Amino acid sequence: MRKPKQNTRLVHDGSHPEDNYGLLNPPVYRASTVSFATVAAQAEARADADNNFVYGRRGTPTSSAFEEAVANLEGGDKTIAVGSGLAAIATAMLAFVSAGDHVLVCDNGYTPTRNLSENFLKRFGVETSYYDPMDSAGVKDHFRPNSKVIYVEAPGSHTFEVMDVGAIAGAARGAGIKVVMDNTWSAGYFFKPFDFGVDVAVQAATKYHVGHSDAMLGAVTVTKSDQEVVFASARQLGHHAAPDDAYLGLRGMRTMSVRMDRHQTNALKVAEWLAGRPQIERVLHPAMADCPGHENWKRDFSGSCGLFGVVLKSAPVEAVHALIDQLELFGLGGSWGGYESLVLPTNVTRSASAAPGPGPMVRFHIGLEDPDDLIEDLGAGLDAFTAKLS
Amino acid sequence: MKDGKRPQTRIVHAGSDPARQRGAVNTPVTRASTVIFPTVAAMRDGIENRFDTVFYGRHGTPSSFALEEAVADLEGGYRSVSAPSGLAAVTLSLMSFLDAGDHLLMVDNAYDPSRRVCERFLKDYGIETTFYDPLIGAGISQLMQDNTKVVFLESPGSLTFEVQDIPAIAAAAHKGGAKVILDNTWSAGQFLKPFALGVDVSVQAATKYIAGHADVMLGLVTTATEEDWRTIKTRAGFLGLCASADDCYLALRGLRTLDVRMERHFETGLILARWFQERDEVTRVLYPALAGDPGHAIWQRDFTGASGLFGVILGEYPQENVEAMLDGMQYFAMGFSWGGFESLMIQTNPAPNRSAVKWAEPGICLRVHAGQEDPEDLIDDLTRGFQRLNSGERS
Repeated sequence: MRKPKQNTRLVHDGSHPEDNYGLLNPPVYRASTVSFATVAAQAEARADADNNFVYGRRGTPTSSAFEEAVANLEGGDKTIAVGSGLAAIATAMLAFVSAGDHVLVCDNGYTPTRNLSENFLKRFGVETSYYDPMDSAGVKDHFRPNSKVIYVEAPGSHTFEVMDVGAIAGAARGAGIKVVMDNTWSAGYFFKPFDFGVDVAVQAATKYHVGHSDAMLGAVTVTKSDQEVVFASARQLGHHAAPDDAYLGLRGMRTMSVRMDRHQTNALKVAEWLAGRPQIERVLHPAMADCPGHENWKRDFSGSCGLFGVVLKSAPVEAVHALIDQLELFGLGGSWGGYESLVLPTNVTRSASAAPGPGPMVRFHIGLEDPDDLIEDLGAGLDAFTAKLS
Repeated sequence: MKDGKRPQTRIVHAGSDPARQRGAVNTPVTRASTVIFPTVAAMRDGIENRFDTVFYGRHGTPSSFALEEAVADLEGGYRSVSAPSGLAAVTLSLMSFLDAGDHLLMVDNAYDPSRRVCERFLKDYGIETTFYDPLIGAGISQLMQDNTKVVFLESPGSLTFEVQDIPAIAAAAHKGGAKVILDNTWSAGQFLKPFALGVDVSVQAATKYIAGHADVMLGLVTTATEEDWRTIKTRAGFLGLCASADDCYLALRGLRTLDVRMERHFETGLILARWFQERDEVTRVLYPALAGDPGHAIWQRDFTGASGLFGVILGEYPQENVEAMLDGMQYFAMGFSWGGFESLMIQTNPAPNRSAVKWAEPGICLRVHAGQEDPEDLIDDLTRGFQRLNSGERS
C-alpha cells in the first residue's frame, strides 16, 4: 500500500483505537507507579524500558502517542517528549557534550539557546562559539577538534535568514559533529530535517503542535543511531512531558494542516501588504524574494508559517510603542504558534554576523483571524507610528 | 498564609487566594504559553520581574505559583521552584550549585537515579563525586575538600532507611563553605522541617506523598533564602524546566489531604512493621519509627512522624518462593515509586548502589509501602504471602 500523505498521517498517526476500546483519542494516562502482575513481568519490562511502560517519568501511552505522531511528521525514527521547547534543546545539546567540548551555535539562534550555551554549559566546561548562518562554505573554519555539536535553526529567530541546512549539515557530518536543528518555525510540516543530514530535530511543540497557547511542550526526534544517547540525556535530567500536555499536543496536531495552511496564506497576505507601506523598511519573511536565504527556502521548504518580522524606518522608540499599543487584534507577548495574532518588539544579539537594521524590528505572528481585519488593525497602528514621527 | 496559624490549618489554606480567583476555593488550572501584555511598558515590567509575575508559561503560572507557595510553607522555607519530576528537582538543585571542577559529597544510600546522575552525568561535566557513609555525622568534615560545593543528604536513605544526623553534617558542610541539599521526600516535609536543621535546599519528589495518588510526576525544590531561590530559578530557566499546570493543580489538590493521609500511612506503617518484626521469616525491619532501629534516636529528635515506606529483610529463601509470594499479593502491587493511596511491595537489592559502605547483609530485601487500606486486610494478604514464601506454592 502507498504510504499515506502527510495530511492523512496528521489525522491518524498515534491513534490506536484497538488498544483503547475503539476510542480515537488516547486517554490521558496520569501515572507515576506502573504495577506489574509478576516479578518476571517487571524484569522483562525493565530490560526494554524504552519500549515498555515501566514508570510515569519514562512515558505513558499518552506521551508515546504524541511522540509517534511527531516522529512521523519530522521523518525521524523516534521522538521523546519533554516539558518545553527549551528543555528539548537542552536535552539534545547535553546528550553529546562533556566538559572540555565545544559547541557551535548559529548566530541567529533562539536567544534561550544562547543563554543555555553561554551561561549554563560554560559552567560545566563546555565552550560555545557562533557562526554566520549564511556562510555555509566558511562554517568548517569554525570546527575544532573538540567540536561535538552544531546547532542550526532555519529560518533564524527574529531575523528569518534561511541557512543552507544541507550544506552546513554535510560539512559537520564530515567532521564528526552532530547536527541539532531547531525546526519549530516549519513545525516539521514544511521542512523535513532528516532529508538534509540533520541528526536531531527539536520542536517547541508549545508553538504549532499545541497551537492554542495552552501548553508548554517540547519534542526531540532522532534516528535509531542516536536514540540511546539522547533518550539517556532526557532521563538523567528527569525530563518528560506531562500527560495532559502531551494529550493537548496530539489534539493540536489533528488540526495542524488546516491551521498551517491558514497561517501561511494570512501571513503572506499581511506581509505583502506591509511591504508596500512607507513606514516599513523591509519585511523579513523567507517567502519574499529579498529575504537572505530565500533561494534555500524555495528549494528546501514546502511552505511558510505565520511568523515573520519587519524592519521599520528609523524612528524613536516611542513610535514603535505607539504602533504596538494601538493594535487591538495583536496580543503583545512571547511565544507564538497559537490561533491568535501576536506582536513583539525585537532586539537581537549577534556576534558573528550583521543584524538587519538600522531601524527598529518588530515580529508578527499572524493568527487565524480574517486577514483584512488584521490589515485594518495594522493600518491604524502604522498611523499611530507616523504620528509620533513629527 | 498568615503567621501564627497551626500546620493543619496552613496546609488546607496555603497558596490559595479566593479573592484573586473569583471566589473559587481552588486555584484554576492555568494552561499557558503566551501571556499577553496591554502595553510595551507592561511587558518591560514583566521582563524585569519575570520570576515574580505571570510572564510566560515556562516561567510559571498561577497554578505553579500556588503550589510552590504551599510547599514552601509546608517545608518552612522561603520559596519553591517546581520541576517536571523528583529527579529533575534533584539534578536542578545539584546543577545550580556545582560547576566543572567542583566536588560533591553524595550520601551513599541516595535514590539510585540520583546516584547515577553523579556517576555518569555530572562526571561528564567535570564534577567529581565522593559517596559518603550516611552515618558519618560530624565526621563529614574529614571528606570536605577546598572545592566541595555541595553536600547532598537523603534521610532516611533509599532502601536501607539509615537516618542521618542532619544538624551535625550541615554544620560541618557550612564550615567548609558547601551548600546542604536534602532529599526530603520520605517525610514529605510533613514530618521533618529541614531548614530548622540547617539545610539550605530541600528537594521533594512531589510525585510521592504530595501528589499522593500515583497520577502525577512532579518535583519541588525549596530554599531557605531568597538568594538561593533566585539561583535555582535562573538555572531552571536555562534548562527550560517547568511543571505542567494540570500536574501542579493535582499536586496542590493532593497537598490538602497530606496531613490526614500521612497520619494513616504512619499508623498503618507501624502496625505492619511490628507485624513483620514478630514473624520468623523476618531477620530485620528497617523503619526508624521502631524502638530498636539504629536510627530511632535521631529520628525521635528530628522527625515528628514516619511515612508508610520501610524495608524488610527476610532470611534466605529460594527466588521462586519469593516470587510466589510477590506475584500472588492481592493488595500489595509491584511497581516503582510510592506515596500513593495504595500499598506496594517490591524486592530490592541495595548492594550494587553502595560504594562507601558495602551492603553485605544476607537475606532477601523488600521495600514495603503501607497504603490507605484497612491494615487487617493488608495483614491477611501478607500472612497468605508468607505461606507462599514458605511453601513455594503459587496461589
